[in-house]
Amino acid sequence: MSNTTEEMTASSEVFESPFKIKLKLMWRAFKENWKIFSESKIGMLGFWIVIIFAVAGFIVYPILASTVWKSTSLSSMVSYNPVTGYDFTIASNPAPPSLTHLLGTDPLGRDILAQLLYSTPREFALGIIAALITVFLGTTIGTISAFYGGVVDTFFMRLADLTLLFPFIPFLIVISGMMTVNLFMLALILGVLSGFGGITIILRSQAMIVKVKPFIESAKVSGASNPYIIVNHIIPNIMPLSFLYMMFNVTGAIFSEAVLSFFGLLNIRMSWGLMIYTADTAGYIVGTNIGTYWWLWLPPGAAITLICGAFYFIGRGLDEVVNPRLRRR
Amino acid sequence: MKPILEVENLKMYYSTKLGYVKAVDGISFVLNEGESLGLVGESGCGKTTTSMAIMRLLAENAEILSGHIYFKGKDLLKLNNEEMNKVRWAGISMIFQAAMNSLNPVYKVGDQIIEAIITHEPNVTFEEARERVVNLYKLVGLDPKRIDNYPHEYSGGMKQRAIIAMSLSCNPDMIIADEPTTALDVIVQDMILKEMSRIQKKLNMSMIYISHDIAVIAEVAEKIGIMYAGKLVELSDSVTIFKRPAHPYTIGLMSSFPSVKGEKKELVTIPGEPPNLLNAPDSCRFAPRCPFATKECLEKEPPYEEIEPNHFIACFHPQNLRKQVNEYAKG
Amino acid sequence: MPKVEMANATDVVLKVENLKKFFPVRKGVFSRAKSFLHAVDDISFEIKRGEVLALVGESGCGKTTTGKTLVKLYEPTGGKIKFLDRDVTDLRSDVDKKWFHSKSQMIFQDPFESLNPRKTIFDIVSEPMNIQNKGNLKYREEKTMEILKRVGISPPNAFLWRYPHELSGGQRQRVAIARALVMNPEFVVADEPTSMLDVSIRTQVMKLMMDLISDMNMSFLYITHDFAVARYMSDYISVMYLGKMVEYGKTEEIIQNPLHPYTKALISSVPVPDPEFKRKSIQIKGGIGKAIDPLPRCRFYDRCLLAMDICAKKEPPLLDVGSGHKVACFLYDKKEK
Repeated sequence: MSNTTEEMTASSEVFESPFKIKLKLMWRAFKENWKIFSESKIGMLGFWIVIIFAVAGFIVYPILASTVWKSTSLSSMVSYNPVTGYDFTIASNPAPPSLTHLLGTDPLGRDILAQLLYSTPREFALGIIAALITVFLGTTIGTISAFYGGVVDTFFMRLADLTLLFPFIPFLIVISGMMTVNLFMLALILGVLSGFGGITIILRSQAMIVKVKPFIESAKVSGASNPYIIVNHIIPNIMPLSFLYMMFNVTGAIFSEAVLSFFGLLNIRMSWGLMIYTADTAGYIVGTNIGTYWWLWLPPGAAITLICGAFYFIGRGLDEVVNPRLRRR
Repeated sequence: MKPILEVENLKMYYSTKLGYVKAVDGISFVLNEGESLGLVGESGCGKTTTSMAIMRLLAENAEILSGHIYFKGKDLLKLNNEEMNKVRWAGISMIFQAAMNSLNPVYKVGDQIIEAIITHEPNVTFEEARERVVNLYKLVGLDPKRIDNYPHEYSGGMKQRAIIAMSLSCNPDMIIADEPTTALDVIVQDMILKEMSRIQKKLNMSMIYISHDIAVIAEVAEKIGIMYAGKLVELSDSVTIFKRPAHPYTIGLMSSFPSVKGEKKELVTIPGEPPNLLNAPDSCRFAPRCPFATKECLEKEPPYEEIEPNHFIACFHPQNLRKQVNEYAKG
Repeated sequence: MPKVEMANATDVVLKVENLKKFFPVRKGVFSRAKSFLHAVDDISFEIKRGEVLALVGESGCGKTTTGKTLVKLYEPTGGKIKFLDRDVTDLRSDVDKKWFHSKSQMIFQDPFESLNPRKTIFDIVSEPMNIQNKGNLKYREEKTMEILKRVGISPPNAFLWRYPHELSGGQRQRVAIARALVMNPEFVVADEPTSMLDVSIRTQVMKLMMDLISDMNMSFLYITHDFAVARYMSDYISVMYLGKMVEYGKTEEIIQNPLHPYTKALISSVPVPDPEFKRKSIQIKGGIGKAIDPLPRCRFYDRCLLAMDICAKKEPPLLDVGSGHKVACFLYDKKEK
């Protein structure tokens, strides 16, 4: 607080643009919220897991790919390309972890670590795009539904009920049979489908609470239009909750992708689910093979679990920021 | 008159990350048998916290730093939980703020009182307890036929009567009533206050009323304690408090209170706002708002002294104050 | 209404004629409403420039509904509202709406709920100008600072960029008042603006409002359940019971000489801050009900100890019993007696 006040007092002569002040206020609010978030152990755990994955996927992989793992013309016998690579120096694939292949190779002779790192940014993109679409739809529909009520509300709520009852995975299986589904398509489908579902109901009920607050009436008395009230008063008050549910949706999207790739239903170059699929179709996750060829399924499996868990943990941490009642004094 | 409750220099702080919130800071008072005491103060002055400390129903981060609470000669702060449970309800019972909204909607009101009786007195049979509830209903002015009704079939006033009946169910020696009429309309409030006052006299019970409304307290309490920012600033019988208030805060409170009685007087405002109790300084807490504050008031803590028999005040300048106040009120 | 000081017609800021507001009472979600809650049932009054009318009554008497209908938060079921000689019962065009909403305002009871927690004080106070598109940013900032200073938020620039949760209850209510007054409204509805505040703060806010009313020459509708507060705030008092206006008159006249049995009971129930004063409270029967499809009789009939036969047959009209003091009770109706 004190910072802004002092600056304001000092510059009361010179008119400071409200935009700049707003930015400062946002920064201040971010710092305060970060403080609360950072006190949540589970939230910080999730945060650091996500950071580690992000660093590995967005920084470490490009560096490795352009230096150590670069296939030069002569030594192209050892290739670390996650999709087309093949290591001719190895007698039989899959090979267990070694110094050249830290996590071993898959049944087609590709480096597991390279596959893992290559997939990471794609998993992030998928999760975040899907979650953004979901939250955008959920917030918009939830708010409009709550504010106007009546037929609009009934329509969207019944639609939400349908979406909740909707057999997701079978539907995606059918869709992928009908057309080629790539990662972006999948994000779109997942985002849209879950955008009409549960999150809409939750955000609608939050909007219902905000809708009857006196500050809404106060704005109406000043002659505010409905769109003005929705944009300026209702949405800012349900945004924190939207953001919270966005985190949970990232988890859902990544998880769905893993399931679909495991069935080999997606047209994608490489993903964690696809890594397990490859191992599975080659028969390495059957019977005693599971124990023997652990490096085929453990790294991608662990990665999926960790990243899904991490986003969920972040959501839990954010929950403490959004719901002050959860906070310890 | 035998004292039933003696509070001695009670200090109860809430510990927070930023330091201590001095919610109750060294208050002392004595309540005699059959007497009613009213604690008046604004929100956050520590009046509810005091009652919670007496009942030993404290939040996790509350710490009692010093003091004694003697109830019938026993120090409540030294009792273990089991002994304290016996004192609650049977010794001291409490009507909580907004208690009437805490009746469980899915049980009959009578059954909720019966359950309270049987929980605290396990050797009472159901029939005896029910008989007792019938008598309690008559006592608080409720129709005993209403015992088998659900809370939603009661009006606000009736719920509050039922809560009073519940608080009387284990024949306590003392009742603490925290804002007993705050959510009620004036006419109902009036009836409830009369009823409570009548019951208190009839059963010769000791009573502590807690309210922000000095007019409500004036109706029911024989003794009045004025609290400000965690401290008891003035304590005396109600006539003295109203006719000859000595603490500037009490005086300000009296003259800032609108009344429907008598001539329309000019309202006097107390400037400023109550202080933040987080790490509050050890000076007179009212000094920043006090028109008569001297340098001394801002530096030292005024002692809590008896300036005349049964009239306690925490102020450095009580003697010459009244004269100044009269002048202030005039000009 | 009060004939005594009837000056000229333009002095009347707000004139309400036979205002009605019914709410449908639905049994199920899909069933059509068969009964109606008569929240406000046929009330008329007028407020002149610079005058304060207090609406007093118990919770559920329709006082808040009246206030909200007057600032168009509710559409009236019947009756007429005339504001500055213009009929504003139905506001159709955007120009009319804009005109009306820039000249009428409302102050709410709970200062913790009436300010958006995600907006800064500047946003909150300047919002009416923002909605009405009045002036540029610099003008709005100047205006905001000016009104904040006027309501005792000083220095205003230290508060401009704070959020409501950083302010105390009293400061928040001052901000709410500043927001309501920033466009210099002609008419303000204040719905129990001091009932959530502590005693010492309450007096400050009451005094502030009194000063502002006389300075800005506004017309005020002050809604309260507390006769003591109404006595200090208002020039006229109107007592409401179950949607009906049962008594109307000059404030001191009503306080000193209440006529309607309900008003008498209400005033006699107000606790007095004086332990030696023994009030004689006037008892009435039962509790307040709900005016759902009420019978055509006096609404106070069931609770009134002085009820006569005629009270069960007809609704008592609001009659002048001298010098503008009006009461709706057959006890004072010479014709019926």
